[in-house]
Amino acid sequence: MTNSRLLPYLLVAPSVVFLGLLFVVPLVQTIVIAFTDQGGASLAHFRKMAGDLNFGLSLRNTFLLVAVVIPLQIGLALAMAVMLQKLEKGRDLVLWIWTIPLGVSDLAAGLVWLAILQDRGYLNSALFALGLIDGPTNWLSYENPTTLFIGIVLAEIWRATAIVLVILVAGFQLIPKEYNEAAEVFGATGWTRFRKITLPLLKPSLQSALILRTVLAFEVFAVVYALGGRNYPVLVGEAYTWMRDSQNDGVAAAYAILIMVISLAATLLYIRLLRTKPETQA
Amino acid sequence: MNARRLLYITGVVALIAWIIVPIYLIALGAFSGRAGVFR
Repeated sequence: MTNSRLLPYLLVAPSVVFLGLLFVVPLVQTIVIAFTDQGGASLAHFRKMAGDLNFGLSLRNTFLLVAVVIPLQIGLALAMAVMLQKLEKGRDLVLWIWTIPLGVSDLAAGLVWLAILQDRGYLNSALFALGLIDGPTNWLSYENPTTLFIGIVLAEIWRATAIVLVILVAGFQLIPKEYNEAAEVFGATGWTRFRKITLPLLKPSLQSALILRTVLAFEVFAVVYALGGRNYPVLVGEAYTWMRDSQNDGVAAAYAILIMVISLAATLLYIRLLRTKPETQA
Repeated sequence: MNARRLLYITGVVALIAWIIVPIYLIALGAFSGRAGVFR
């Protein structure tokens, strides 16, 4: 084989090795751990997971979080992307500021919002200064599940809307200006142009953003852990607890498999629902 | 400046504040300490 024939394989090799070592091997190991017990194939870990007191609650909480956070993030990121398109000056600076949370780790973002929302935090300080509360209010306690949930939603929106924004801004750049200009000439209003031109042409980007964000949302952990600990159980949190506190890697692996299956199902759903014909792409 | 343009600018500034204020608050706590009300 000549050097030129070998070159593509050599170029692809680092990625294949990387994926193999850091993705395929751990995935196979997780599957083996989840489906074996005492040396034989078994569903015992899944039965134990399903019988766990927190299983139903963590499943419900994770889905609730995804159902509330994703539509809000998509709507907000869409609004932000539209605003950016309308800006004549300082667009790059505004985009840079709006994407700062991308550089903040999950746990750090959780700690930022913990500093605001905890009983001795900035929110209580501000409310006390305004005379709206008499003493410390524990917004993140087990007794206040609604405010705890709102706190987690706020932190998640703050932390992860930027990734959706970046994808949508890239999608906006692909839409030819001529389409909008032609529609404007024919008297289409801004809202009509947005519905009939921008949104359909943005569908592939929306699909990518939805898939990426939903998969990441099902894996939510650090923000929830920083704000509520186990007061708001989620699937990854339960996997962590089974692994670290209970030292039971079998049930933790079963949780991991469940999260992967849910993420794959959501991805397939988006691909089917938001399928775009090649001729309608920008 | 028409009303729609003003709305856009207000939205942009509000969203900048939404991103910057939490970072400012955590930086304030980290570098200078803060006077909490319920200590």
